[in-house]
Amino acid sequence: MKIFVQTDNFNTLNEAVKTDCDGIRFGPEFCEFKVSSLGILEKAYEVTNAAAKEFTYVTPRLSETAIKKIGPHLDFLNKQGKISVVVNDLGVLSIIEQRSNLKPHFGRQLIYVPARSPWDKVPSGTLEASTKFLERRKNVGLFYQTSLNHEPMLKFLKEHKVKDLDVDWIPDGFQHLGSLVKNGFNLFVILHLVPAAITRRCHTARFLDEESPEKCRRPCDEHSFLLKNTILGIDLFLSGNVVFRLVQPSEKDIDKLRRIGIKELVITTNPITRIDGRERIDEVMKRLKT
Amino acid sequence: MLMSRNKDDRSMPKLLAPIKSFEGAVKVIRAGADELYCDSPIPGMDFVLYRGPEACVSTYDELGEIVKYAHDNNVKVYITANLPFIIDSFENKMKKHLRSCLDAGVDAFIVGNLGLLSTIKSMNADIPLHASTYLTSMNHEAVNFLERLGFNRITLERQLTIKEISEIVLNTRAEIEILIHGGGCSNFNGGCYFHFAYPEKMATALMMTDGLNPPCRLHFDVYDLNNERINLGNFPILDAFEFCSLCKLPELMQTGVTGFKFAGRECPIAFQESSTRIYRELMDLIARGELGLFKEKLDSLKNGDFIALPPQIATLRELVCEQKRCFYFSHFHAPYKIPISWHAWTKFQLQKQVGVKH
Repeated sequence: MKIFVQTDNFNTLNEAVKTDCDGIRFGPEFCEFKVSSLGILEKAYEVTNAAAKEFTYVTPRLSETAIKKIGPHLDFLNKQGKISVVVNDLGVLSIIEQRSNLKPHFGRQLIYVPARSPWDKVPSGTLEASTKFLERRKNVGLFYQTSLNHEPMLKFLKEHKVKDLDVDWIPDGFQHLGSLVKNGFNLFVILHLVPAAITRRCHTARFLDEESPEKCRRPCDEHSFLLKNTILGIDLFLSGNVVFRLVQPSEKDIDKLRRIGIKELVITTNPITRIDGRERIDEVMKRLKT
Repeated sequence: MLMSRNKDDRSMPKLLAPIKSFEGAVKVIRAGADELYCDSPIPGMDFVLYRGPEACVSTYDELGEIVKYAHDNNVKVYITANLPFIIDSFENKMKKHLRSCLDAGVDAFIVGNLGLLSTIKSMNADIPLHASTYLTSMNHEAVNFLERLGFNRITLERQLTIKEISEIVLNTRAEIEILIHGGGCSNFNGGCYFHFAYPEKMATALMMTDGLNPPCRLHFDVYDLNNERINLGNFPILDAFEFCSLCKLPELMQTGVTGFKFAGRECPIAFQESSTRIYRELMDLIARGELGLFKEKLDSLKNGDFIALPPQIATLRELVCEQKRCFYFSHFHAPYKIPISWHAWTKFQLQKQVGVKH
């Protein structure tokens, strides 16, 4: 299996290129305010290239303000040759379609996955009258399917030359990924963190009293929080503008992925997983490979 | 940069009200709605409705009656086909449902999924398509992309500024719609899974919240990653829920958007009707340039006069104005319910320094 390391931080990228990983995915998956300057992107590309690693650029959802920044980044990458860009915004997909060397790679935010629910499991037992949506389900399996389990959606992706797709580490949903592999899609499974909610009104920035997006000191680079609701008995993690559910990968599930034919895994660097430097990345990779 | 519209070409936005019954439709049309939108249960699939059957028009016959009444009054009716996701096993039921809605005479489908868009296109249905907020459109590139795919109107994600909305309008030929009143999500509508599969104790957990109670207002104990509790009590750290844009109405009318939409299909008819009436009146005052009267009216609304709210809300001033639950505020604005500190970080640091543990 190929292993990619994803980071939005140049210092971490410098560490990651020294590991045995097969590729680097650089850029913020969720926060438009963390999109780097063009200069940093150029350096990131250069360092990754010098280390003979595959380079993928990751982009988040973008507002009207933020999308203006991304055009020059995509122009730069387009000049470097065939490069994959993880797209989480249809506006970015539109820009990429005008740049022949760039290869669109659908990010997690463009794929709907009910099982990202922060409550983790479909509750069992009698359904209450006041409950909502999938709790009214007649088919539990539905919960683990995604918008990719729809033929017209796959047709849309093919029409737009999308072959690479990011998917979550949700082991109960792996059974629905096999048909995608058979359909010719390359799936990149992102380990550990399943995004349950994403906002532009950054929950961390609000909590830590950041004044404005422009002046944000990026406290999320160092601080994440564990959120506990004792009534529900749940633990969630807040990292920047995303609420995550943490799922630890198991050997059994990695085997399951291998059998399905999935060849790419992604490790994200993050204070929650404490994967933040060369040693930790190597340690996780070693565990995954053995 | 493509400038598709002249800044002065800004006609009055249409007022788009939610309904769930014929009675509601009659009332909101009389209150001044220009357009209506509603949901209808999908036979054999009502269990996947996001808001539940109580937020839907009950039958296709009732939908047909609504459409007839609305058309007689020169009002259009749009149907939400915006399930957040669709899979192969839904396909046939969904197609049948859409055909029944077409037979009822609806004027557009509101679509929240690219797969469903392909399905509708395969049906060769000659009907305008509106892109739902589930598609999270936040920039003109995305809007123009959706227009090329076949959407006539795009509802923007709520988490934009008024300046950004204006810029998007200027750079597209598509009709742009924005949400202005009713439940505004703390998270991206298309990227929030808090509504999926409520655990059994959710109702109990939500009793901790007061008034508005979407799950993003749940109370949490907050810990750092060393498992040390941050001593701010049990509070709704994820709460950026917004509700109203009355004060910003003059600015929003200047953006050039095609439609102003309320959320609230599940709300009582009284809420749907009074919200429509209030916004109609205020928009007409602004259009006539009577800004003094607009401000007077606004003050009386803030003092709790004549706006019906969902039953769990006390007054507009208490639970909306005082907490600044305003649409299109700057992105980091924090409508936490007091006593949550707006200087939480300082407190956190101080506690760390003195080694407070819980």
